[in-house]
Amino acid sequence: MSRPVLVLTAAEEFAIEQREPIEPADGQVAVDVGWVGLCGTDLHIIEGSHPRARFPLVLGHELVGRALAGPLAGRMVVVDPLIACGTCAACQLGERHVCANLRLIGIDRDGGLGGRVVLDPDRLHAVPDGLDPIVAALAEPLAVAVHATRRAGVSPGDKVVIMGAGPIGLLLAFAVRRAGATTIVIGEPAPARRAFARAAGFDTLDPADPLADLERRTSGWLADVAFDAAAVPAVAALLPRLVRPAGRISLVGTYSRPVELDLQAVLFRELTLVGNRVYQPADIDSALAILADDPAGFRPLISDIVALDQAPAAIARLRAGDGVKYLVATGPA
Amino acid sequence: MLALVKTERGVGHLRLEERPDPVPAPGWVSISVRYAGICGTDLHIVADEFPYWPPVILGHEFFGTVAALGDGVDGGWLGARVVSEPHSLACGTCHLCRRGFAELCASKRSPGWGIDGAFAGSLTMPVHLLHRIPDGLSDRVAALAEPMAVSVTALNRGRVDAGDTVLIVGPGPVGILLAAGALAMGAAHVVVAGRHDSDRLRFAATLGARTAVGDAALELVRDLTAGRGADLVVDATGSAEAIGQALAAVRRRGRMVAVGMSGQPSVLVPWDLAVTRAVDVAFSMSSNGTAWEPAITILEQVPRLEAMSTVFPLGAWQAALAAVADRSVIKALLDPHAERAG
Repeated sequence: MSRPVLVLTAAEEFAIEQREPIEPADGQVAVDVGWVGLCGTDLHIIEGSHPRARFPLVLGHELVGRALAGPLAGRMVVVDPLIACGTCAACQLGERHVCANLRLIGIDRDGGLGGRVVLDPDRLHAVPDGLDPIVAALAEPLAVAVHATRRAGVSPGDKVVIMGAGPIGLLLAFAVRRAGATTIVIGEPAPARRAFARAAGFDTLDPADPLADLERRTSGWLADVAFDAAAVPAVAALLPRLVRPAGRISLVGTYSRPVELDLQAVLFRELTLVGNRVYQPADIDSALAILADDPAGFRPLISDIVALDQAPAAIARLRAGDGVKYLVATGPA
Repeated sequence: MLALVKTERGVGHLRLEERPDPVPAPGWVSISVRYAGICGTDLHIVADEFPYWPPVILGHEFFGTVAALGDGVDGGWLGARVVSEPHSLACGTCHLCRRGFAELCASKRSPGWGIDGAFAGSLTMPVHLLHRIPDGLSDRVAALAEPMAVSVTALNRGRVDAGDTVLIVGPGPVGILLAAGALAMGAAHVVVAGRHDSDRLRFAATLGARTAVGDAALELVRDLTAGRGADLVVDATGSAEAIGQALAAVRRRGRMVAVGMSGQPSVLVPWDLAVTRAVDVAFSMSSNGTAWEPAITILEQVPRLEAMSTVFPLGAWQAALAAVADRSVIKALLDPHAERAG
């Protein structure tokens, strides 16, 4: 039976098409997708600036749905959308998330806004019993934050600065708070996002002079760890000065072109610079456990849940900086 | 002042004595003791099972206020509410001190066994070992700083990542504070396992840990991790049975930290199980200096720790030691300035 699929036919062009559900190849399992989270990467794809995405494309890589076969058949699952080649150096080293040929469902091939995806069974993670699948839809972006938090070694009492209060910046704030950071300040130029961050219980930096404000708030100590969830040149210029000597800089946002970074400051202050690309499977398990432990704390991050035909309008709101995370309900799950 | 003194070597030889107030040397301060915690190590010293230099006033866990300053100490310390790392007389020059491990220095002489300790009206400590206690943290909870720092040190040896499942075997005071620390470090699930149901297990549950008796711990850990096993297991007992339980519950490529003393020359462990699971094992001893500020932060964050301790006047030291030995209290604190019991 055919079903409606939201197709990005060209940059900024959406159409709803009726398509037959895709069938799994040998060894693959199908997932009936219930909810799809929209993300900043989707915006890049829609405007035609993503280096790999080709049209027509069905978006959607933050997915919750019901597994139709395999070891988790019948259960609600979160999808790990990464597809690794299995043969490059990173894959041979077990670091499949940094595969040289990494592809994602919803970017390089059709994703969740078609209502069904097919994948290898190892891409599925069971939603813990009792966790609202709507909250579980945050597992993929939260896994990004958990991955970066783990690699930065955040520990109780740490002072953390996060540049950027988009969805990833906010989820980083939740993740580092979970890891025991006691001073968490977020740098963000957009007043609405600053207000949301404060409502979620985090401090924000004075956008007029973030460095001076951070010095004041930490009595001159500066941050033990600075996360870059903004990925703009002005932040890159600031990063080495936001952390104390021997501190850590964690790069989470994606720069679309090379930027200037003061490597002399990195050297003299012996800073640790940590790159992060997506997440590993254990990070998704950790994200699900964290969500299951405090679903009410995360629920406010979901600004709205819209039907498939309303997804383009939700994308427009996301682009306008209105709201944090929009979910598209893609059918019965 | 009154002081509880281990007067000579051998089992026992513990006596309450009148002692002159200690005078701080240059760089040291005198601390008026508000509460001093009794630890398993104190019982081992009484039983002549741990090194000590008699006659010596016992007590290495304490909270108090700075009452007098030795030469060269900044006047801002006077009256400060403080706890102290117990790593006095660490040499500062050996390979361990130079690597930041003063707690393992062979020259270290801690209060309570190497130098006079905190089971007294006051003691002296080098100022560089002090940590200020925030105003909002109560005296009774601040007195838990040393075992909390021991727990943080152990957890750092094994590492807790946000979202982890952690099993703590042994619900003693350190086991309970390990659970509090693991939760503060972001563990999604902390299971505290005991051999039988107890007030200690019930108290751990009030902190947000799950609790289990005996083999039920393994089942609970498996349920919580979809069968994977715990990311980190911590043994706070030193017993073969508990170590076996911990290794049965850890996942493959998981981590184990041993922080409990066995009191035995050797312990039987399920060696091949640990090998086949490719477990990272770390042993942990005392508290590293870097663990103290995080420990104080965790004490501020965890509610209900007040209820962990039972206060005894110093004069009732026999009852307090007995209560620790028979586990009828979780943590006994001595109040050296209380009216003498009886």
